[in-house]
Amino acid sequence: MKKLVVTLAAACSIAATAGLADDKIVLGKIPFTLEHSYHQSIVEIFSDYAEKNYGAETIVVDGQASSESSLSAVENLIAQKVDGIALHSPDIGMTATAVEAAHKAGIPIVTTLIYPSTKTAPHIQPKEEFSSFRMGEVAAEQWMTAFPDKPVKVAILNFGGFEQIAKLRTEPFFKGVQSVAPDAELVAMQNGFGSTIKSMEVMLDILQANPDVNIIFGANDDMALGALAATEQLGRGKMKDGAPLTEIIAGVDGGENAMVKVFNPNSSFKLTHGQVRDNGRAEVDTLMAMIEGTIEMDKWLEVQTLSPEFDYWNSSVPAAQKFLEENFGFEKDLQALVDTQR
Amino acid sequence: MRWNVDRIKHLLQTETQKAVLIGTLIVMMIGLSLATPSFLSVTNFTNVFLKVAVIVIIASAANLLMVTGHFDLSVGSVLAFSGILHAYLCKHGVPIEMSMLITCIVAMGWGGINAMTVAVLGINPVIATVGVLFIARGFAFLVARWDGGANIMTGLPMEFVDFGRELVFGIFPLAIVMMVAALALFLFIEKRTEIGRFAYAIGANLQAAKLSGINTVGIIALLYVIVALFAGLSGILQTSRVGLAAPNVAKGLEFDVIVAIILGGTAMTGGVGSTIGMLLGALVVGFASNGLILLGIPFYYQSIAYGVILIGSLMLNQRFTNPARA
Amino acid sequence: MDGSNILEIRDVGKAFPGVVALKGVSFDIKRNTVHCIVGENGAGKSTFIKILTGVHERSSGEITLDGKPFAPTRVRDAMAAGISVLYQELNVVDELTIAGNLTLGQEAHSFGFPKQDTAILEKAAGILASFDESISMDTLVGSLSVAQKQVVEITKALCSDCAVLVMDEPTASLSLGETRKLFDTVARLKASGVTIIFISHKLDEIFENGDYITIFRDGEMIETRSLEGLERSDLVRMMLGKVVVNDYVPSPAIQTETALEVRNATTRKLRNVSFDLQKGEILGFYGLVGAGKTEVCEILYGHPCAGEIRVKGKATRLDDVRKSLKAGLALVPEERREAGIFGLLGIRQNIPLMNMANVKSHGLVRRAEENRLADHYIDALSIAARDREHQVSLLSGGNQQKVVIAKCLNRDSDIILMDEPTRGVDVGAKQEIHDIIRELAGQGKSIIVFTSELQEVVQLCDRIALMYDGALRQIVQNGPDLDTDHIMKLVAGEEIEA
Repeated sequence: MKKLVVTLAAACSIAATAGLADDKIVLGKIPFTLEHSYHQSIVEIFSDYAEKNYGAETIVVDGQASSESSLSAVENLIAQKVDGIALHSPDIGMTATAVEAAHKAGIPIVTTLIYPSTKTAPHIQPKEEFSSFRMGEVAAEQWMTAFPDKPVKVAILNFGGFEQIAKLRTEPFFKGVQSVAPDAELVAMQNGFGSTIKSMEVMLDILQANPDVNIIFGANDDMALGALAATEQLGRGKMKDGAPLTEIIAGVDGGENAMVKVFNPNSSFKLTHGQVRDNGRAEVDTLMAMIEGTIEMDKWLEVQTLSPEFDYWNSSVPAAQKFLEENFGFEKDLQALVDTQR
Repeated sequence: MRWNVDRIKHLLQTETQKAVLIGTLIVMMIGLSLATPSFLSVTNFTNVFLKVAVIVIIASAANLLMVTGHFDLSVGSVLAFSGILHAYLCKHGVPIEMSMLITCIVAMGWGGINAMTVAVLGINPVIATVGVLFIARGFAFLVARWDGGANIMTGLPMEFVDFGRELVFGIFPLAIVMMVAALALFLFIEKRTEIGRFAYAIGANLQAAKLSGINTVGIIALLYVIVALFAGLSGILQTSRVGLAAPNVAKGLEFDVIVAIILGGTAMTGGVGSTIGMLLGALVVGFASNGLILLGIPFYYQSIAYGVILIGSLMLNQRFTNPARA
Repeated sequence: MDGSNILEIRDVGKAFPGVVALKGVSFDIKRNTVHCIVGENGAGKSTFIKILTGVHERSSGEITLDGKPFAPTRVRDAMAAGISVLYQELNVVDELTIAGNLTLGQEAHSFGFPKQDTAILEKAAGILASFDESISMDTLVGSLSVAQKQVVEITKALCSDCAVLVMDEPTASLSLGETRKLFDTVARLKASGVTIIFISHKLDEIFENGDYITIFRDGEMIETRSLEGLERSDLVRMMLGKVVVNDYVPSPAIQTETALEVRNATTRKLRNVSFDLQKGEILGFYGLVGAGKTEVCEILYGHPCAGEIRVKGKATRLDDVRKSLKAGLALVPEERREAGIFGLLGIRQNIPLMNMANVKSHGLVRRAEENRLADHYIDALSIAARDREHQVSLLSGGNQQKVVIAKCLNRDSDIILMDEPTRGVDVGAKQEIHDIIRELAGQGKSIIVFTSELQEVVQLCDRIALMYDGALRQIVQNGPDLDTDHIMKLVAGEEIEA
């Protein structure tokens, strides 16, 4: 009878108890938000990799893009006595609190993407700034080649006020543009709220005020796609066999929706960068190293990953196909999808 | 003499809000056309109308619903769900027209739930429609997951975007045409039909309306269904315009709709309000937001301006609908 | 009953802005008696009770309680002095046990923590058991019947050593069996030395329980006396005052054709009500408050009943407002603001709402027709308004009532129900509304007037249906030889020889 009760309790309480019962390692993963495909993919890669390489189990608690939710997710995982926590926090201040709480409970924690203000735990950082810079360079080169006489005018959609986004994406991108076209002008920087619909509306207004904008950067693919929809609404947004006509659009994340446009010779969305797999794996590896004691859990250690850049001119469809499969669990044929585009 | 005072009071009560809105619009337009040369152009006005189109389409019906003293907080979720459903069906081989039809019917089903809980069972609309807000939003994410991702874009037939980007007579964007049609329909209902008259009566005095033999439940239910249908149509329109369906769109749309309605002078308690006022309210919000972006003002200030407009509108509303308290 | 006065009331008056609710009343209440207070709505008895219990402060006069001056300014003052009230709306917390309810608000505290005062609880348990041994102190109050909850409230009052218990319509929501139980409780309370002030509209209850009675009318104390030897009809006469029988003009167009027959209508409140209504006739329903007038109106307009209703000879169910309207009935409701007018709308929009057909052509509402209709009624009923767009909530009471009547007339129903048609309107408007009603009867409409003003029925109605305690006792013919004494006997529930 007593045994039955214990079994029931184990079945009811979230996997943690079961994990403790057979000494299986349990990791907690808190993604930024499960509403977005990038974060959905990273969760899948994280759990698969932990299971296959370390036989570890993963508990996922959604951070819901909010500090409060992420922090309560951390507390929740601490209460479940997981063996390690991976956190993509929405803000810097909250990260410090979370790291402190986990350390107090003796649980290793690794942060990612948003640099913590207190450097007291290992951190995984995709080096996005290189690829962002590179995209700016390529975009400016292509525009200058096509229209040497038309001065470069840039419009950027961001998430409002994230400092990290500026550091990793928007600033290096514009610097990349300037490195090729020193006279390039940043004519508009507005909040696209990470949303395609909102970005379309905002970009319509921006193009109204500045019809001569010719390089557009969306700080994620969703916003770049919204900018593309806006240009299409205005009868722009096209290329002639990969040659710029009205503008060049760049995004970030490198998902399926973006890749289909990037390799379509008639669309002006032409560049993106991103990476999921290496980041997810690095999080698991770092956590396991701390659990096994090969890395100290309360020392700053920056693990860098790459964020490869893809563009129409310098990348191949097979490479992109491989990238999508590795990072987003893509099972379709990219070339076939591109061919259905008009 | 006494009658004259009353008449002035009466006019103040019914028409001042519209006059203030028209004045605000004129001031904004003059200011913006001086500040940015690109303001006064057909394309810019088209942009503003495109931006407010969805709000105005839904608010046309929601305005008359609020005239009865009821409101619907689920419109944003119903819009998102309908967009996802339409994209999902199209992607999985349902002909686009058929998918639109199915989506509209399902959207009316959401309205039917609101009608049942609020009009028939008498549950407070704040609670009942917020329930649908969560449920419809949840189903939107669920359908997107069935499709295997966070949103639906690749794999959609190429004709998918034709509907949303259609230009009627080669010049007028469909969204604007639908907006005008929704406005015209509800202006007509408001001015010329029994339903319109009864809506005002229900909002002015529900008990008296029942005792006068008015089918109060039927009219409130009908309006809930139409509001949901318009939200569904807007979802189809928006998804098809962008060419991408995301389950997290239109969060907070219910507030944009209510702000437009209240700004237009409709009382939250019902009995007072007009379609024209609502349109003016939506335009003030639309032009304010457009102007701030044209001027390159960061979005923080846009958010602040939006809040100021909202509170200002509530104060105006309070002042003119409750002359006794003023 | 030692015969001494526990309360002496001298010239107590209360004026609210614009209205004098109590005009200096004086009377005594004897210790350890059941003292009843009666009066029609607006007579001033509620105002008096509110002064006695500290809800209102009196404007003038003196009250002594046990020989000491008594001037409560808060409910707590009155309770501390020993006066408690058993309100119609019970003041118990359903989620707590009886013990919890009884100690609520008077918890003793030690170091800031509430502690159960066992002495109080024992005392309470004793009191409770003396009324009803079947309920334990640990019972959740939510699971009790209304009568048992009353016992809990009474126990609570007795725990705080109450000397005077005011019972405000205590039987209003009780079943017959529960009412009997309450009367037993009243007897026990009296036996234990408590003085009870008993307020009720039901004369049976007063004669059964009361020792003394005070009659209020129009804010004045008419009489205080022993109930012994008091005739019911005399009591009613004192409550109603003098009725002037004049002005009555028979409706000119009464026909033998029956417009409405009601047979054995029975509801929770009504018992076997049967009557006929002729074409062109004004039938009045009269009775004291709570006699069942409103219920008769309701079964004709949207409420179900057992029994049979025939409209123009055809059996009809009138359990839905729209069925009643379709059958040719229309109602001018009692509560004008709550149920009659559409205050935010103009006269033009109010009038057609019961019958949109009159302002439509080809299925659409025509503004010109609305205007024509509004102008017609503004003229015909002489509604004093700036114009047809005048917002109805800004009209005077009499003119609002005319708008409600116009809305009803536009329905062109053959049978018009008028519930308190002149309540809250000024004298001039009252006369005008009576003229409108007579004119309608003259046109062959059948009208039922439900009123709590005897003066109104004898002035206006061709026949008067007299209600007492849910039963229609008799329908009397109006005319020069109308016997108002007879009417009062009937509405007072007195037996009369056949």
